[in-house]
Amino acid sequence: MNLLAQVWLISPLVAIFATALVVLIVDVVQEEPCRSTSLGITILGLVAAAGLNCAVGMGLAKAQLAFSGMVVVDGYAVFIQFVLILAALGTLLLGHDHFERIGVSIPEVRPLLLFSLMGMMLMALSAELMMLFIAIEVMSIALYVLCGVNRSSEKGVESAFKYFVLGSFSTAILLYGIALIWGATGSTQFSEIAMWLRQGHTIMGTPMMAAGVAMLLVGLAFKVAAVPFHMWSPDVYEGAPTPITAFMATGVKVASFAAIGRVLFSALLLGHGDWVDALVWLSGLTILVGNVAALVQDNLKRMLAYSSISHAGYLLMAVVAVSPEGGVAGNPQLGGVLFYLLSYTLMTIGAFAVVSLLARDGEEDASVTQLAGLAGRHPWVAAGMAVCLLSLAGIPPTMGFIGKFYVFTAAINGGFYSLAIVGAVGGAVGVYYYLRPIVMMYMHEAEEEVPMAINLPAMGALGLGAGSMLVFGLMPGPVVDWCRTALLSMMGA
Amino acid sequence: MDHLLSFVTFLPLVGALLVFACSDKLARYMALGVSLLTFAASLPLWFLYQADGRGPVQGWPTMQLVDGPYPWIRDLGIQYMVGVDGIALLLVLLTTLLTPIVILSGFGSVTKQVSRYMGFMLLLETGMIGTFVALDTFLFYVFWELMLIPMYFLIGIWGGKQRLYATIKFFIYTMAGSLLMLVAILVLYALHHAQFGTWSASIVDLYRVNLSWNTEKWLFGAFALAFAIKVPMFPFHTWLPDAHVEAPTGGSVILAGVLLKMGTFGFIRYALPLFPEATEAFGPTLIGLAVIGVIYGALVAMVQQDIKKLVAYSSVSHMGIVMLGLFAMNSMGLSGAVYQMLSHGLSTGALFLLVGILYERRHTREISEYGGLAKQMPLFAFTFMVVMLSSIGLPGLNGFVGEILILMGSFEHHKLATGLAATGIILGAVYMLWVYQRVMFGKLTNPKNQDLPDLSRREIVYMAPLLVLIVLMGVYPQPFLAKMAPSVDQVLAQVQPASARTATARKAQPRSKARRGSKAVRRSKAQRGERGAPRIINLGTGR
Amino acid sequence: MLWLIPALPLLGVVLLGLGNRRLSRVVAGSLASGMVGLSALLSFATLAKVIATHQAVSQTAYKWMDVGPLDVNIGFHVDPLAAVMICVVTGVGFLIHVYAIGYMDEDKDAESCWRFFAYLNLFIFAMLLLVMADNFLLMFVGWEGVGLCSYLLIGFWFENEAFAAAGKKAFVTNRVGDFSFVLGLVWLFWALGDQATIDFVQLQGVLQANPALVGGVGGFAVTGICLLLFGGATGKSAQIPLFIWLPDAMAGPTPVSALIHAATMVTSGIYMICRLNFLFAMSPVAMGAIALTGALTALLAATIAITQNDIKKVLAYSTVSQLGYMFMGVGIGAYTAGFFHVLTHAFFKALLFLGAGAIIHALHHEQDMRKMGGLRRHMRGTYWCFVAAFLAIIGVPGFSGFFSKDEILWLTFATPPEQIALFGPGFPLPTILWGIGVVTAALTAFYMSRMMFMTFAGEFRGHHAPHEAPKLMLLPLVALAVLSVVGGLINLPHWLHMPAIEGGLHHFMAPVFAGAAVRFDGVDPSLEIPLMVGTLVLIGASVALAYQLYVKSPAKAAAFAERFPRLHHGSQNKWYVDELYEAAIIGPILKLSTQVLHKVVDVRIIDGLVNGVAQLTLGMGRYYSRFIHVGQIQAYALAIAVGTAVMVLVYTVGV
Repeated sequence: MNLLAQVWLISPLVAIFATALVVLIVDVVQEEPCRSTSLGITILGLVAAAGLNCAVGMGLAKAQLAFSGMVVVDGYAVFIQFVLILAALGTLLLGHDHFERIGVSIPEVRPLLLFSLMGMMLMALSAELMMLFIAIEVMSIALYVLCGVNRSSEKGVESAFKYFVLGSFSTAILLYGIALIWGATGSTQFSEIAMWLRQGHTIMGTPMMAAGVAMLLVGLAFKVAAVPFHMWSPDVYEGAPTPITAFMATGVKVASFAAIGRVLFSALLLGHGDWVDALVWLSGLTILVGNVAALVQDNLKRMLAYSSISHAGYLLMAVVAVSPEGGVAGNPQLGGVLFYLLSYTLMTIGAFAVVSLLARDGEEDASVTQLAGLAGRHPWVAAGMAVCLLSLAGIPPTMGFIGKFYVFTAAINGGFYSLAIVGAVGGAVGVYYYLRPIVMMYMHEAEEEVPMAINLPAMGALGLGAGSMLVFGLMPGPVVDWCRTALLSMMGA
Repeated sequence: MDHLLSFVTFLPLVGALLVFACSDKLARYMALGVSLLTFAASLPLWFLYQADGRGPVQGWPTMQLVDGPYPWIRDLGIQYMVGVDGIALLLVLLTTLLTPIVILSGFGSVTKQVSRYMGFMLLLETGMIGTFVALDTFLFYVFWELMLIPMYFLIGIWGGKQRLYATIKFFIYTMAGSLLMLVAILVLYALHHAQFGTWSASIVDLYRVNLSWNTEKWLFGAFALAFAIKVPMFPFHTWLPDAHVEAPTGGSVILAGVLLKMGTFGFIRYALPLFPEATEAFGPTLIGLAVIGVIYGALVAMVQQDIKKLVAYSSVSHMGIVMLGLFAMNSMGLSGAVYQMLSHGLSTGALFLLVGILYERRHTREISEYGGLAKQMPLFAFTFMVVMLSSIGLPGLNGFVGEILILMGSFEHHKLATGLAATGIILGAVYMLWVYQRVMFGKLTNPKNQDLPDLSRREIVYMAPLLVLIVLMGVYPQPFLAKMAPSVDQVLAQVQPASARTATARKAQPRSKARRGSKAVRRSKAQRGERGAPRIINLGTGR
Repeated sequence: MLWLIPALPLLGVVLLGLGNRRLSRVVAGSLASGMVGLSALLSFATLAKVIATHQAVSQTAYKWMDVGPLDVNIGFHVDPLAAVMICVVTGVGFLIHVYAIGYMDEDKDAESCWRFFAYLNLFIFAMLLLVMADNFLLMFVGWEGVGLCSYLLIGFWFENEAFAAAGKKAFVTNRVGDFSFVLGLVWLFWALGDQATIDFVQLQGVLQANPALVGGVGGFAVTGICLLLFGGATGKSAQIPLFIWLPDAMAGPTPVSALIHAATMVTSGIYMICRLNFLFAMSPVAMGAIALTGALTALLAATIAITQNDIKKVLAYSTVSQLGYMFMGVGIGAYTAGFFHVLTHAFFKALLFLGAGAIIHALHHEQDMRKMGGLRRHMRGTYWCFVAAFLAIIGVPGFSGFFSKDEILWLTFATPPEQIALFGPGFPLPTILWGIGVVTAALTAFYMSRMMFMTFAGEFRGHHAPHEAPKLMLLPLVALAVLSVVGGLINLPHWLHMPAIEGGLHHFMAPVFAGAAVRFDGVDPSLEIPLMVGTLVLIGASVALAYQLYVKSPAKAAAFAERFPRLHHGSQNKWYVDELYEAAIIGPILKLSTQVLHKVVDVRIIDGLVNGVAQLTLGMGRYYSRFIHVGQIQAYALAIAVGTAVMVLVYTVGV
């Protein structure tokens, strides 16, 4: 396959890269950077990338390996990239005005964001462990910087530092795991590893392999903030500027789950061997801890952080449940992960959009009480927020509910009944803290009027989130369809 | 015509969206108009529904006016399909009747955020109707939860002092139940695929699923819990008094009038037909709880100082009677139960309206605050009297028909339970007459009550239809009973096999019927499990 | 056209309701009376028809409920029993309606007169349903309907707390009875198996076809059913243990007491048993229980009546006591005799109440007999009517009461013990019952004479001068007086040896009670006359005694009371039965509900559990974020390290 064809396969990535450079230059050359131009360019770039992504997806008959098997492009990758671009778009929208308000005017924010996005997309593409590692690093390093971008805020710096230290720690573990796997199987290629397993070796049977897998999983679990590797996230989420938090909550999760999915399905042949049970425990633990801890948070960002932890639990539930035993063809459980990722991304963006509206001159930590009486002042904002929260709680008729339905079906169809029940209990607990902001907005009078920095881009992000929750909550059909085919394309590979 | 049912279901939703956008002034009339239109649109259902006609659904002749199935989420085999049988039909009509009444009653009592209030009311109506008509479990669940949200706001925004506590308790309590039910639904859904190779959430298909006894037991538990909370059955009732006391009048009326019926309806439509053997085995337990509920509810109601709390507990008692009828497992009991659901909806709804009328005038629900009102508000006193008599089941009014049918029905298999539940006849009279005496009779001592106005024209307008029905349904119940009769038999037929087996076992060994019965059930269940189900469910993790 | 009989009073209710305030007392009254009058005419027409054709008349209005095995119509069935009863109800009812027009002339009632007459009409309607119903459920509609009306009418002057309370007491007590009635009905229904029916005629057919369904004669089922049904009767007809409501019911306007609490409603229990004679006859135990209850009630009430000073209270207890007689009658199987007493009692007791009403009306609602006396001179008309009723009730030969009461007593004595085998066939229950009956008769004579003397004899002890009742009230009195005197003629005893006219009622009722196989040949019939004479002597004696104590030397009466304070207070306070119920049943229940069920079980335990779970979860969250999630990076790293270690261990070692 000629180089051009290979480049075409990763053209979205290239587009992002190009955009990043352009924006960087533009921001540097201008005397005083004009935000709207660079925003415009960035958005253009993202749209272009999305378009290319689609084009690639269209032309794709079957999964294509490229660059000597370092990356693989398939429906799965295309889907993930699409979601990631959405996440980035949302982040940009609600960040546009936000950074101004908190007094951060560093032009590099956008390029850094794009670089991190590149890393994420690469995670979805990588067909090989080293590639995966590099991708993760690309994503992370950019994020470390972004977390601390607000130098005036101690919390920001602290969060950046925490994230950096723990991040590298976990990456080290990940890397070690990769090394062990390589040692055991003699390859880092997913397909080769799969081959090795098919030859009759089992993970649990080979201690080195087992240890490797364990560490690999830990590394990834850290990125998705699964309990007990989650502790960094509340602090980091709270400290980082809201848009970045949003980006971490969405992009990082999506990318990491993309990676987890690929590794488990195409490399480790999920469903063979009982090493999956560990993941079941992980998932259950994450759901419970995330939901319970979120109950008592008064800081919105922190609450959403814990909520995102619990959602990681549900996603894990979906992942472990996807076992070939379910029967591949026309099996609704397939694609549960992807659907959940999409809906989760959209609603989280929506929620964080509202959080960011609360931020003003450097002051960033938005407490639940600040929402009091919002419904009276900004009915539409309140309504949007309510929809997103209900969706996060998984209450019909929202996309979030379909996601839950999907995930639970998968779990039950896979035979994980107690996990499903844990999920249900967790959901019931979750309702409480998702309702609190609604209670504030609709059922409390504001004692001190918190000004809302209403601005078009952020509202756009909110609208995007809330709107799609309702639309796809009522007609999820096409999306569901897409998710299944996407996942199948990867499992086929 | 064949879309009529969908039209009735979604008209309020459309109305709600419009009303949300309106100014408060306009919103009132808009909402009233929409709800009246919905009622008008729902009336033809009564005439179009042929009790002994045959609907399109295979093996479910009583299910008529079916709209659909239209594929909704193709991949998941989820369809949009609605229809009514005789039972759902009556409940739908009850809903469409109560909503305009409630909205009209809100004209006076609701002062803040009117357009939102009215909008939520209409939204709620769609949710309620949908729950009754849905023929796809997925669809059912969506509507089921959809009901929660507006009610949550209604209590939370327009409620009393403790409204937040009440509304959150209500929401989470119900949610916990429904989530477990969701899991149970999904298990059936998965089993259906395992057994028939196709994905479908349609009720009719799920009826066909074979269950091992062990599975059935747990699934029934999940469903029963969700519904028992909604009913509410003792001891899952404590959310009700709070919710009722704090809710605005309209909220209480809908809550008592329709929402509680969701629980019993759920039993009729889902828990019983889906799990006949479990119904057989756990029937006695539930009947026990029901009977406790009857007496307990009445006794606690007796000593309440707050009128609304009193009515709330009386609901616990009345719904207990309904549950007794449900598990009587014969046509009399079941028809009685359904009939009692209707009349309880009317009479308790009316009671809450009346309490609301008082509250509007005096802003207190303390019984001790009143007394001697009969002199000051004769018309009100008369209305209250009729409603009260209906609620204590005076022969000749609607309450009696359901009550006597239930008692006669349940006596067949459950003599003791019936005897105990019948004490409700006495206790009901005690607390109702007592509160009436304390509120209406005696000298008009409290100066604050000196110049309370009697029923206004608007109040008369919305109380009148209720009174008419209360009398009509007592004097001439046959049309209603006839509408539901075949559907009732249909439900019983679906539960029968188990009962029949037990009956035979009973004849063989009159002494130890209970044990024998359940044994027989298990055995037969096991066989069926082997025959049908490839995957026997065990509730541990892993495959 | 049968349906018109109940329909007319109902129409009256509707019209009065529509007219409400606008109708004056006279208009409302005449409207109501008119309606009742019309249905009275129809009733007599029906009676005539029944007599002429020897056929029961029946008619079905429409289908009421048809569910599974249950199939009920709104249908009427008028056999001789019902025919006579509806005539009494509408006839006496009419008279009392007319009387009420005169009675309710207080200004304070002007506003609500329409309500009063509407209730009265409603009552007549319900009572007619009860009597004419061709099935259990419809009868039950009437059964509860009359209860409702009595509730409404007792509490008619609702501004008086006590009156309202009395109304409630009546209704609730009746409900206790209804509870047992319903259970009996339901049990009977299922006992019949696939021949289940609640239609009286069919029921009789089914039971005669195969009595085995209810366990045959003396079977467990039939006994249980009968006792439960009788439980219902004790409520309606104020027998032990549920008689407590009737005396309080005197709170209602006097015409109400006359109509509902003397003439008609309270006799519905006896009527029900007569209607179901074929069923009750199958259970000697139940029969015995009924007879005994009746006898004891008769005695108990009489002992209370002798010390009451409120004229209406005296009459109330005398009513309870007379009802006891009736139950004794039907209990031993002498249905006709019992029903005969229902009729005569309807006449003279209604008369007594209306007379009392006239007095009360004359004395501006003074009911205490100690403030009366000497009214003979002021109210001649009332006085003479009263005398007629008095002679009837104490059973002076020739007056209606004498015939009915004497027949009951004799038949009781003559009942073969095995027929009322409550304590086994050997036990001489009949004789004992007869004894009680005779004693009661004596007591009745005593307290009635006491009442007569205290009100009419001696000097007037009240304040404002009494005046004779207006014509409108007097006429009904006279009519009833005539009936009380000649009422006995319809059923003359056989020892008069006048075959042409003796036992008229017996022959007429024969077909109704044909189903009940009862006989009265326990003793030699030649004893009848002597026993009767003995009774009469006793009665005479007690009248004389009363004369001694209350006219000649009233001091003696006081002294007597002094001598036996316990007895005197006990009797005056109704032997503390109310207090007993209060302390034994009502109090504990209320306490239980408030202190235990509500405060502890509901709020503490159940709700506590619910909130506890919530609090626990929140607590865990709090604990977590305070002690585990402390924000120290080392801790986080440690968590990761440990987590990793565990994972690796699990995977490699496979723990």
